[in-house]
Amino acid sequence: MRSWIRDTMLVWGMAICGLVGLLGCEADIDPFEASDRYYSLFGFLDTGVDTQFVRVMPLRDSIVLGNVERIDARVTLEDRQRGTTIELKDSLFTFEQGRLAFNYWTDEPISPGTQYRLRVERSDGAQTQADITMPQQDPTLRLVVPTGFGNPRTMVQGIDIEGAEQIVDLQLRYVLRFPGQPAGATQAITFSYLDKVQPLIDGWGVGFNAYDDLMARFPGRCPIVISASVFVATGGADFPDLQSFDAESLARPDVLTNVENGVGYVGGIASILEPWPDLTAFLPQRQSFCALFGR
Amino acid sequence: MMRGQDGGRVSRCSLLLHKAKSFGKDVQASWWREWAWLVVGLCGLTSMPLFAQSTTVTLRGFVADASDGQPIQGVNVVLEQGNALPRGAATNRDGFYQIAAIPAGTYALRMSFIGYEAYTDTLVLGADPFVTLSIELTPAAEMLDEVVIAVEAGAARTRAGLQTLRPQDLARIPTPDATGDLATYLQSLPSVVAIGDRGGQLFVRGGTPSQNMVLVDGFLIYQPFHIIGFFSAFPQDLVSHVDMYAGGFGARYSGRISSVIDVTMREGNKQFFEGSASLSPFLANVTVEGPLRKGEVSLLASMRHSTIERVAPTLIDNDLPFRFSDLFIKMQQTDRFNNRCGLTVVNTYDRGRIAPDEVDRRDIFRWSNLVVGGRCLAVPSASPFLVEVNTGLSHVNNEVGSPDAPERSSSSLELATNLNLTRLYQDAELRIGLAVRMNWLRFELQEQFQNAETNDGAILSLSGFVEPEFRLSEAFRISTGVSLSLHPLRYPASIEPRIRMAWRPGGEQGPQEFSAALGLYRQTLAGITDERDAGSAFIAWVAAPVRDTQAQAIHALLGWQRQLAPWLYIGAEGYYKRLSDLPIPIWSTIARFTTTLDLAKGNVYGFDTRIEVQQGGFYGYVGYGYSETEYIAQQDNFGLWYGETLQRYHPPHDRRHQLNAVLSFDIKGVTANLRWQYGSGLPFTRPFGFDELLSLQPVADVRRTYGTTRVLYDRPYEGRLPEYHRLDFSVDRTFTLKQGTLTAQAGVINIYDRNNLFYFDLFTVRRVDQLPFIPNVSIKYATR
Repeated sequence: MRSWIRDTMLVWGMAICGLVGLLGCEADIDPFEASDRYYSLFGFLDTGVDTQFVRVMPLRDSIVLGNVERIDARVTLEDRQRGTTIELKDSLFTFEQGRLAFNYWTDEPISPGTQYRLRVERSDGAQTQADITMPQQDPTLRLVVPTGFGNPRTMVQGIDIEGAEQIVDLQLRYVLRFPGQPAGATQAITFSYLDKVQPLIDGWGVGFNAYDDLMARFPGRCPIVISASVFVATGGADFPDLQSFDAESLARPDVLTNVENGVGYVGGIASILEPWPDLTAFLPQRQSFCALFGR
Repeated sequence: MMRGQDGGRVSRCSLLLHKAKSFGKDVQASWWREWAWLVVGLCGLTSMPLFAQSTTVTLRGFVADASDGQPIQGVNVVLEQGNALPRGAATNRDGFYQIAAIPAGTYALRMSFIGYEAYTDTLVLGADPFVTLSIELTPAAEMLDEVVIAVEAGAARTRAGLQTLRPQDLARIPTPDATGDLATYLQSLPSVVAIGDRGGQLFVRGGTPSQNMVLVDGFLIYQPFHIIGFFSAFPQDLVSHVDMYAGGFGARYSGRISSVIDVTMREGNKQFFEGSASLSPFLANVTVEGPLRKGEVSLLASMRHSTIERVAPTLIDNDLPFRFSDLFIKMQQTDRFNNRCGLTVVNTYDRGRIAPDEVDRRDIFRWSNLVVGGRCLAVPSASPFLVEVNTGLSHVNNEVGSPDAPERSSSSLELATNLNLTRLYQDAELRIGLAVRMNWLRFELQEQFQNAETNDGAILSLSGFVEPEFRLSEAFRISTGVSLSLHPLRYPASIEPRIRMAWRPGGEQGPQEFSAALGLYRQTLAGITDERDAGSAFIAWVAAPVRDTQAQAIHALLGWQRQLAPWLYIGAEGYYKRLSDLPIPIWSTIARFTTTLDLAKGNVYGFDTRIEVQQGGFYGYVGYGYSETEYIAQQDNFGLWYGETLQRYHPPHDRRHQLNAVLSFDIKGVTANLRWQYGSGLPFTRPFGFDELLSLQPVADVRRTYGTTRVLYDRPYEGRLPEYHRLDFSVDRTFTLKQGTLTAQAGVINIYDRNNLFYFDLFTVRRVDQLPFIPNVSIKYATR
């Protein structure tokens, strides 16, 4: 009996020692999936601005931001029609809480209706690229403000846009001040009217009540409009219909991207930022209405 | 007289039926109609067989240990009369036996159990239809060498998912304390997966922790496993008996879809006072027990509190920020009419950070349980039934976040009363029961689940079951049953048929047994957890959180066990579980703690194989389990994300291979225990990087906007974590002193100091490992 126990213990001991030796004592893990995606690219080429900025960042292996003061990337922009290539310059931007990001820029003009290729190369040859198609033409705006006196809540303003294949963004931007605050204490406010844009026979149009929208945002505070301007960005025919995606889907790396061997989206737009003095003049007249009636 | 009583009962049933018909006119009250039909059915079932009772006798009673009053399970009770075939029964966990349909006459009675002096008597039966005889057996000076009806217990002995555990089984698994624990033992079973050594989460055959029903003396306890995985509210010293169903459980258990862990705690000593105290690096324990009224009323009280939080910095030069405690009180009374009533109180508390060096030190998990319940067993003198009445409450509170302002919290209070009746026939047993439960739920989840944020409410449920068991021959037993659950005005009635059977070729003494089970299970109360985060121990208890749909499972099991030699058992069991309407979090890329719950289907299949050796002081056990768990979820978004609206994935508890080996030997009073565990890697979602997401609409200006940080995932759960294995060892010896016994134990956790990964924090690229090499010494002193 005793020898039986001894033999059994011996077998068990040998088996365990063998297993331990075989399996080792470390459990290494590489949690990251091997990927041929190298850079994250975001931004727009815009025919309506003088300088183009595009965000270029290497994919990180941690949510921790770390030190990204250096980047191993050469960024070029190729005009696919003309066959010319320019190199973008890097610029390190600092954001809130000391967060850093690289934006590459160029002041070379961007031509409507042109196809570009943005290419990012690492020193070891790894490449990420995005193909961008620019809208055929720059948009033109017609801004409509009703004249005369009356209840401002019944008076609708309008913006008509011509020369646009798709509307990518439509914003009304105000600089405001509130009664009782010093003259220099202004506040920049943006209203988006993209979801109200309707197709017209000769373009696109949107109607809205700027006074009502302002009062709804700041009930009872009767803001004083210092200035108003309209920002419109248009895209080409192949610009994606962003409103058909929910926020969760837009965050998926594979759902909306034109970047090869990387993630992100670089769009081609034609933007216009136009002051709207008539609206600026119209709304302060109604400030007294608000003060009188409370809204 | 008996017929008259029975007739009166039928009349009351008719009245209930009449009421049901009246209520039936109202659609809103349709549940009353179903409920009344159930009552009528039960009344009929319990009434009719009574007519056949007048010419035979039923002998029943309780058997207890004369030295301390503890009920003894498995006592062999035999009635012999001349050359006729003997009639027999074995006592159950309450020490209750019953032999029915005995023709009048004179019989020789013999009650025997290994380790006790046999009790013999001569009985003249016939004057009364029901004879109650309760006996106390005296422990023998030496073990008796006789054949007994063995309790079907042991690691390799499973019957259609059921495994019966005894306290001595728990002692064989090395635990860093002077006594074993159910939590440690369960993790040595091939059907149980623990994803780490902390968090108190056990997954049984593909089910999640909230799908397990854990009962203590018949009362639900929500989260009894402590934050350190070695310990639970069920230490070896307090446990009398455990029935562990890894699936295929009978109709008397309703409300969970994965498993049942039915724990019976032992009673206090009814003869004299005794106590014990123990101390280890992990916890300290004090237990006292004794008679409040000698021979009739006993009290058992135990209190444990963790010590590891204070000891760890010295012992392993590292923080283990875990605190837990539990309190157990049981008062038991046996009156002169053989009625047994008990009061059980269990209170547990756990608190800790799952990742000890958590960057965010506010991320603290806390949970507590309170169970208070009273249970009475009665053997009415003129009734053929064993009557069991349980009334109790069970409360759980679960929080995560800073102590003063928890980010997420959940609590559930259940008040339950049930009545169970058991009746034995010559070759059959009938179990029926009725239960009323009221659950009050409250949860505050902030943004974790977008479609279940904050709520409170109550659910009333009425349930009943009928579970007849037939012995069709010496070799074949079959237990059929149906459970009916009603949730008035909220969910449709749930009718859950179940069947269990066992076939032992060669009769009860045959060396092998085949068993099978098939059943339908539903669960209204869901415990939802963020399965994306392996380091989370937070469970929110909510009522059917998605579209008021109850989770459902179908279990099918087929098992075999064989005694190859008196010292060698082998067993194997295959299983399949079909799951539907499981509330699961949908994987999201935007933020870490935000997701949407949706319903998923699932398939679980696998098999267990076990070998158990026991010879003298030697014990060995090897168990291997193969399991595959797959969830199938459907969402419109999946088509956009992955190209297919249907996604199949293996959830994070899908451990494919699990191997456990236990070795225990006792030489000259020294007991040594060795346990080796192996588990294949668990699924996780592999990212390929992080970046900042910038808005396309409105058009983001990259000069002014930094963006929202996102993790770039591929399809969920396509990666596998490294495999896990660990060796634990303990050796102990008990010294007999003048006034008591002193047990000294030494042991080591994780002998070869393997860096077993608990989980990998993708957001901080940090690995959180399980416990390292920890030597420990513990002592226990017990008075006698």
